[in-house]
Amino acid sequence: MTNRRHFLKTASAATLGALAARAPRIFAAGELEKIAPTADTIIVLWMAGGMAHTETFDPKRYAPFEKGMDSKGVLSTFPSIPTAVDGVRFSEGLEKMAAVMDRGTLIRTAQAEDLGFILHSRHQFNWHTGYVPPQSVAAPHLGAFLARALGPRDPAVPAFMNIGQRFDLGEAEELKAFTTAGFLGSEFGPFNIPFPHDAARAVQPPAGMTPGRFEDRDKFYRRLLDASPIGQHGSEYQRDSFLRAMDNAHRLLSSPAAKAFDLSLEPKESLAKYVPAGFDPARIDGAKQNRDGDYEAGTIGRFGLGCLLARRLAEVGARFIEVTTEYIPFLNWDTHENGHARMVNMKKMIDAPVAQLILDLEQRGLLDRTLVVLASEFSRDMMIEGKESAQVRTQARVPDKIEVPLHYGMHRHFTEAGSVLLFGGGVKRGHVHGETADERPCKTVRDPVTITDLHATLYRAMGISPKLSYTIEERPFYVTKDGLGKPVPGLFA
Amino acid sequence: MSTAAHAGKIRAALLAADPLQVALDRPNREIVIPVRASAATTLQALELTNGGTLNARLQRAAAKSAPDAARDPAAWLNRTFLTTLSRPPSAAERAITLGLLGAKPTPETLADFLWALVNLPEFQLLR
Repeated sequence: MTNRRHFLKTASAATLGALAARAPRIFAAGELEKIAPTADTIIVLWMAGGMAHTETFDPKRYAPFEKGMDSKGVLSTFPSIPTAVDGVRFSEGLEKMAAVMDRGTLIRTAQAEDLGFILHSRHQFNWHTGYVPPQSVAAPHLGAFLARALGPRDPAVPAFMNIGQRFDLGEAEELKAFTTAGFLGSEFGPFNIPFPHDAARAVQPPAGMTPGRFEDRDKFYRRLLDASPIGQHGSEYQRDSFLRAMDNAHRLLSSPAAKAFDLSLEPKESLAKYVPAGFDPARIDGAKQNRDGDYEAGTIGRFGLGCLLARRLAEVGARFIEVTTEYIPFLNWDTHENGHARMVNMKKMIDAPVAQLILDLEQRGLLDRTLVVLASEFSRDMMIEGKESAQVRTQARVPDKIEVPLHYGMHRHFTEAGSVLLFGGGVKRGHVHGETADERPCKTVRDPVTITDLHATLYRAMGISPKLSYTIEERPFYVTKDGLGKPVPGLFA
Repeated sequence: MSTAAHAGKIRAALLAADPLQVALDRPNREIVIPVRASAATTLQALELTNGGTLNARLQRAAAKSAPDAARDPAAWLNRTFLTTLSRPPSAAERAITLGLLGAKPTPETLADFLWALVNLPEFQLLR
């Protein structure tokens, strides 16, 4: 713990920030290799719920729906389409993303870990922290590690923005368990914006408070503080840190950066590129949460607003931004039934906004230094639950013969291959990494990429060693699992 | 607690955490946090300044206090300082606050005063 004397002894401009944040020390900092960053910002586009690779970025043989067809014969329920890169094909419905594939790198062999019976929140914890739950200390989210290591790009903008996930729709506490700075302390935690259309509210005074009253309240607070005999009861260091925090909060609330949160300031023609015509965010809450596809159909546009907000925040200096399609058990990418029909809507949800985000970042000259990562906790398959050699208890009924569209789709959880897209931030353009089998199991046949190594790649782009660690309970806790991550070779231009 | 796969079948391992508690470093039940932050953070300040949880509580407290405060502002102020800071207000604090509250304190001015009070480092910090 820092006391005032210790603080005065050791404080310098460089250590001030670290001390203010409980000062986890960099373990063996001198031994870390120096890495020149190729990116200043990371945007994670999170396909929550398990995105099937054979239905999106790694299409296999197409089997159109026929009554009585063999389940075993179905690898993809969509035909494939060409992309801007020769020989690379996507699944139908991703035409706009296919057109920007020449800006990106596609990893086709992302591996999820074997965690036994499949639970989404455990795999999402694993992907976001690099560690398998439960841990004996609270593991920080990728965004929190980056916030801790690099700080905000603009002091008025919180370093770690988390867009689109509500925490009251199922498995909420499991989601919160990894949406956290953990032992790094709340300074580096997420700034949660569950409703992108409502983001402006996050940086405005609370309901019922006028701007004038808000300013008056702040003035009164400062007068009361000046009159307070705090000097006799508490240390100036604490008082100063508290005031600095209040100032930072006030700075965000009154800074030009706050305008980035207000999507109503986006020109209409630009907004239209992210969100389909007629989309009304006010209707999201009323969307029927059934598994027939109504929910996905009714909420197309929500993720697009998140992508737009991410672009606006990247422009004003956010360090790490995650936008999720949102994890809701059995909805969105979590297709336990009606997979094909719902996939049509999921593709509509992501295709235009992701492509537009890439084009907008490029047009603003930001793509070179912004790494966009599209990923999911695992993939899906018609037949296999887990991996072929170690299948776990199934969660979706798959009849031998498909009689109705209800059973036509990828309804089981598959961990032996998955697609990850990377754009900008120094990675190669028009590049494909790894290869998967063309027959079931459509698993990795060469160049697998673990979560640990994927993280090492992201940290490498940001100029951070995979061996960077912070000390908790007298031991180092590394940004990649046990400090063992190795950047995937051949991804950087 | 249940999960998507096992509705109602998995024992509660995680306690509900609201945004205010999370901002104030309240640890999860299953996680040991041997060190707590000794300095305030921006996200804490944002939650304290703007968060819905604290705002709702302050509004409730203000509405409840309004009749008492209107009857005798100075006595109410004294009691409130004793409750929150375990000391009476200084003369300067009393003058500033009564200036804000005026002769007829409203729920709004009371909520603003309570907000300022619980955001004093003296209230927030142990040392």
